[in-house]
Amino acid sequence: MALLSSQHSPGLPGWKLAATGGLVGALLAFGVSIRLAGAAQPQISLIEMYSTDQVLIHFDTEANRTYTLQYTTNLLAKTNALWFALYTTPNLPFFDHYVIPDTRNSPQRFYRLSATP
Amino acid sequence: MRLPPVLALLLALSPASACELCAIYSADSALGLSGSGFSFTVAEQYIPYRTTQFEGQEVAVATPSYVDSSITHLVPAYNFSSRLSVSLNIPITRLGFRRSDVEYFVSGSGQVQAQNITETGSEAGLGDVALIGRFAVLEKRGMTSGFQVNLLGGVKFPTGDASRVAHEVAQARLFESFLPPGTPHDPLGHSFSSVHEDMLALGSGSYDGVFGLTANARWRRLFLKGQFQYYLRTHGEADFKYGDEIIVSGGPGGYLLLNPTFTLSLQANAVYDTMARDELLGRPSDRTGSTGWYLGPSVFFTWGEHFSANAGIELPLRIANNFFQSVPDYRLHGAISVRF
Repeated sequence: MALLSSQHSPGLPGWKLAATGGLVGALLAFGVSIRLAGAAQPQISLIEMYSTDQVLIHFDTEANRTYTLQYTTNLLAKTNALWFALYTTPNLPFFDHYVIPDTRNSPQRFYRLSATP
Repeated sequence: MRLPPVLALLLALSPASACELCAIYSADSALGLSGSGFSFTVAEQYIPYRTTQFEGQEVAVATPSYVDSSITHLVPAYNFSSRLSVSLNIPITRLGFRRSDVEYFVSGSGQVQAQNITETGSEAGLGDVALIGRFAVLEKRGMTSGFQVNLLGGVKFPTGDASRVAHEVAQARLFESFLPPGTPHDPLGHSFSSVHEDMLALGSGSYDGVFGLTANARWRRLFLKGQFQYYLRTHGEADFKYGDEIIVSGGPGGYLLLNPTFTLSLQANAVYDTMARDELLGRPSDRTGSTGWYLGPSVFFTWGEHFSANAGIELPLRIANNFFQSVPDYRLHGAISVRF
């Protein structure tokens, strides 16, 4: 599987994109993270193929923060894009590494990760 | 006039008369330390694991996981003599719990999905039965003093349900399949719960060794008791291996009430309990293992030469645990024994 990583600015300061692809263009998945002032930036560290019809999304978490992983199938809609929650981590007093599987049954899917506080 | 409690205790521990020593001698018999014949003991141990700790420090979490462990031991035993006995330990376990964790499961379409779960319920049933022998290597018994040193040895059999262990290992194996080969990670890295599933298992699926040494010394109305226990764990269900456990406990005590028909004694009991890290997928997990220091009183009651009872509570002085675990608030235990 090919792994591409790039930095884009989709119009909002502090946003970061990481992109993976390579299955004959059938899949294009983006990881998007939001930088919060005074805290480390939540970041999707890896999106990789899993099995024949799934992907795995990797990300690290810091202590005492809650992370929400969301996805959409239509990033081009921009302000009208509908984001769906895929997974939310609990607020725990230690760092950890999460691997969340997701389906690969659509041509493209975009991901973003946010953290609170 | 009421006596200050400490003074009352000192008076109670004053030198005993010959008659009182007869009562002590009878008490030893009721406790199964002399004579031969059958005995039957029902012992209960209750431990609420409701304090959430990270690396030895208590932490607050929104929905803490916990386990309330209640184990009733049925212990038929036979004393061949004062020096040699054999007992069968039949534990009936009930584990009330609440547990939050991430669960990987396979959906109807055959895809793996992740989901946060909080399960509340209980696991109950037969635990792992143990057969234990006792041999007194040193023994001296007299009216005014005595001591006894016992060696214990036995085997714990895999009679309890270990399906929780199997499920935990399956989850760990699935999580490992998500990672590139050779990626360093903890074998319990899939779980963020302070209560791992192996804590909810009634049995381990393994044949384990049980070794111990007990020492009791008495002088007039004072006594000193000590115990050393070592649980040698082997690989069991799904090749999971619980960490070996060492328990050292004991302390001084004295007879508060002495009567020809009954005795009541009090002991200060200190406990050191250390559990090594569990092993799964062929390596130890740094998310398991702990060492605790406890202190508390125990009381012992005997009636004639055939009946005895005891109860005690131990409060944690310090518990040093690895990573994120639910640890005991306290440890409560009691037992009733009848000699036939």
